[in-house]
Amino acid sequence: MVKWFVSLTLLLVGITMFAQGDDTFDASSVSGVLNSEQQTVVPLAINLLDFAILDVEPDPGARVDMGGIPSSLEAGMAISSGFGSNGLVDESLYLNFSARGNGQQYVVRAYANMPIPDEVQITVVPIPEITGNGEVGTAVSDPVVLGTFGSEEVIITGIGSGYTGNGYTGYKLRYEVIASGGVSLDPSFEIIYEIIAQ
Amino acid sequence: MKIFRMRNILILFVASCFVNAGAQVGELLPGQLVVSGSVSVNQDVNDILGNEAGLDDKVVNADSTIKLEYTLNAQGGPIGLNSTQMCSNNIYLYRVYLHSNAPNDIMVEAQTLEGSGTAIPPYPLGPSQATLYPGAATYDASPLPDRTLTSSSASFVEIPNDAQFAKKIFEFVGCRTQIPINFRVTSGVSAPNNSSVDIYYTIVGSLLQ
Repeated sequence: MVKWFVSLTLLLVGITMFAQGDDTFDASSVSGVLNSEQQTVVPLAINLLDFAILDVEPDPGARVDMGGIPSSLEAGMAISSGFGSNGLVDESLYLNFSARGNGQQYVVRAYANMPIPDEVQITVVPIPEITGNGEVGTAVSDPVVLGTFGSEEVIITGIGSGYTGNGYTGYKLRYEVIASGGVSLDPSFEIIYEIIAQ
Repeated sequence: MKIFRMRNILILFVASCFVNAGAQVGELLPGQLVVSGSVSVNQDVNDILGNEAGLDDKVVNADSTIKLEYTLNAQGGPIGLNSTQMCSNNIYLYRVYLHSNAPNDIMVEAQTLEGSGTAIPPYPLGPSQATLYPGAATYDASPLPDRTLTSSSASFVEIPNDAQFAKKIFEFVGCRTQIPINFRVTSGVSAPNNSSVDIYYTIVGSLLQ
């Protein structure tokens, strides 16, 4: 039995030697004593940037069309009554970002590029559907009422080094628009998202 | 009886592997592996702008002035042969393996172009050089492999961060100098800003068949 064990062990060693071929080599114990083997080491210096980038998908074409005349609108009632108690809702856009923090943390803020009429209220809440990895932060739990420049609203905090995944993944953006009057937004109206150091 | 005969064959087979391996490397003459120059990766804003938001950080080319060379030692004594003469008279196959101690979120790749570097003595030999290096001239006239460099791949090859599986990047026949090695690095977002990774160069010589 012992002889068989020794034979089997030797066979496995032999097979391992052949299986490794000459594409790889066990360089863990190169002594330099043999004329046939030598080893030296040279460092590789790596200098990377901290960064944070984001976009809204689909990119290009991140656009939401809301409004029109709802079929349930009753003559004599406010137009918004036809959109239900939550107003207009859209969940077609996704926020993607990548960041390297090295201890630095980032937040995502949102705001409109122009004043929003008093008769219109726009809220947004990011819903995590992460397929990436790392410290991708925490979204606010309640919808945030958007303002304009100067009153930016933080919607995601605690982003470190991580990435959300690209495309229809990351943070789904749930918009709700409530219009109490017949006011429309300007065609150039935009919602701006930015990722900045916390 | 059959079992014992088979066992003996297995032992002989394995033993011959060791004997062959020893014979291939035991008769080589001593030489010097020299890796000069430096290599660094410096990510700039343009590298970041090329990234897609939502994805991990991506590849950055390294600035490499690394040059590898291997020549045989001069031989003293009454005959006295310099390194080039030793390289002319003793031509071996050399395989170059690389590995690193990079952390898991940094992938290092290396590449050496086919035929790069300079053969010692020159290859092919000119008519006047053939008389200076008769050993190399005789070798070049034989059917043995050319004194040139063969790259493992036309593209970059991943360098493992495991010494037990150092990866062959190229091999060459005869002494050779000024072999350039290019690098590139793919770093995850979790990689630190500034770090240093040790690249280990291992050369393994063997007799040509």
